[in-house]
Amino acid sequence: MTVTKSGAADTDQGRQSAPIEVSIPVERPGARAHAEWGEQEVVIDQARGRLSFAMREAMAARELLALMVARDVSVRYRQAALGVAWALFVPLIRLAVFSLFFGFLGRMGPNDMPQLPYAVFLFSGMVIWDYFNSSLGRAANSLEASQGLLSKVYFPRLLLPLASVISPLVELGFMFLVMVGVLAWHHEVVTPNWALLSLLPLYALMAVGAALGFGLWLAGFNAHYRDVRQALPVMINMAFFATPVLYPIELVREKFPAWAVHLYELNPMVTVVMGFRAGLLGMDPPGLVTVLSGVGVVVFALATGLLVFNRMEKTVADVL
Amino acid sequence: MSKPVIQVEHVSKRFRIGAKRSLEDNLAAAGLRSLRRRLRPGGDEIMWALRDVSFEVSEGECIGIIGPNGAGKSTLLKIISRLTLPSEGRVRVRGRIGSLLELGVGFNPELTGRENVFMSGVILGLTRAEVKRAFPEIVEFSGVERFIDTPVKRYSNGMRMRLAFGVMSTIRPEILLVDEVLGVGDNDFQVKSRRRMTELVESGRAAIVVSHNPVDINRLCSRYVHLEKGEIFNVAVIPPETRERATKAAAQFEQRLLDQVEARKQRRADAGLEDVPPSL
Repeated sequence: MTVTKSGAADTDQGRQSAPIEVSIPVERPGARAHAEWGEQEVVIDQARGRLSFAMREAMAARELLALMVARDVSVRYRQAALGVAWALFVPLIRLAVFSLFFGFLGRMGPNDMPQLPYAVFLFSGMVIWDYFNSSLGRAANSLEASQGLLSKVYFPRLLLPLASVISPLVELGFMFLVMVGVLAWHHEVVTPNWALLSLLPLYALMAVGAALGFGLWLAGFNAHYRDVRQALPVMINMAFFATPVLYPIELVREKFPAWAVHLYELNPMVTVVMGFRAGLLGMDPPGLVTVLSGVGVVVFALATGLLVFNRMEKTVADVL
Repeated sequence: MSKPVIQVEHVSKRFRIGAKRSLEDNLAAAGLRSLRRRLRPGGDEIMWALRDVSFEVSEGECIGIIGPNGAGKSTLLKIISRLTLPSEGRVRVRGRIGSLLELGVGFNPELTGRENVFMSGVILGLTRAEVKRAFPEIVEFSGVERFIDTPVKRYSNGMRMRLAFGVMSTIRPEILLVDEVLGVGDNDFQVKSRRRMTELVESGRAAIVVSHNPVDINRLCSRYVHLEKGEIFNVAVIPPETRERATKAAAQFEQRLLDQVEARKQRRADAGLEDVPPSL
């Protein structure tokens, strides 16, 4: 795909038409108004690093964000003979492996749905887990991966982790397509819950928020200490087992005391995976407590992640 | 009298040197300075890359920055272009900044020339519509039209540089920051890019040029700031005579480059080779 063709008509919005803010020279640190990116007056000093300013800047640079996402996506499939088809093949192959492997090995699926093939159960959780996995990884690496750019040109740094959690949505889309095919194939034994299916975008949004929130934390820290890069695969692996992807949540509820289950449900991906399975397979949706604790954690991670990222990003060009 | 376009007010930048990047240091970076003070009252060894630097650039003015290596010239440009924050003091900038600090910013080798032009144009502060408008000029200037849809990784170094310079110079920023006046590519293109640079400095609202070449400073700028060890050593006006002399010297240099191009063409013609435009 070419970056140039899409959406050339709506391009003049963005930072050009955003309201111009002129700095008011109040001689009190932190009480100064700063202008938007690329506009009239910019004050560069320690007070510049305020979060509200960084967020407004990032909002004004939507066009750059779109380009970054398009670049991410198109570079991934470039120079592969099969191109974007890979985005479809990879999940298909994995599904085939699951089916074969667990066809011989037996199942860990929900006990109350014995007719549900384990591969389908597993795949329905993988659809959204894979998204979380790759977008968190990319967001955590986003500052480090662009250090060449960061030391040469100014742009709102927030765009890097943002683009990292948006571009894997494309792969999520392909995974979902395969999932739809699977459901059609198994329509005799699996019935989606149509009402809950309409909530899927909300659960996906929650996964985006979780990946962004944790990704902001990790990206900021990773720029300063590379320890993050070492620890990240292990952390994601642990999170995988702390999420009901391989197994149904009942397993946890049966084996652990209530307080441990509450702790477990703080993992926002518990809600997300359960929500996906509720829609796709007609399983039990996450309960109110589960949803609220998950959403609470996402909101908390986002708010603190933005603060941490903003702090870390200020000095990033000096340490990368 | 309008406000100055760039105001550099008591700017200082310090770095801790040789300090091991401990958790504690980074806590300090994360804003827990008071905690740090409690933990280590002595403090680190500190290096001042810039110390209390103040000057202004007014409308239509070009300021040269000179000084030996390590004087803080690049750090100053980095602060003005917002890559790093000053430790103390502030810089006020009125207008869109474009810096020629580095060529090929944001170029991704996998993307085509066309895609890269858009990417780096937008990163450098244009809207996509503006890049679209400037696109023919960029391609024309850099002379890579045949390869514009080829991934940049297959470009020669010269082609990549020319395209990058084309993007930069077509953006026409209001405020231009130049780190060394570069001539890139072969003789022909060097002259072209030097002339374009001169034009940019002269047509913009303001410019700051860092250079080790006194000829470039003298012909482009009306004043210069001399930095030594991070502090202002001297600020002086460049007299018009000096400027004229430097302009002549630069013109002679460019003419020499062009003469070489001519001579080479002649040799090729004598040898019976067909004439290939040098910028392809």
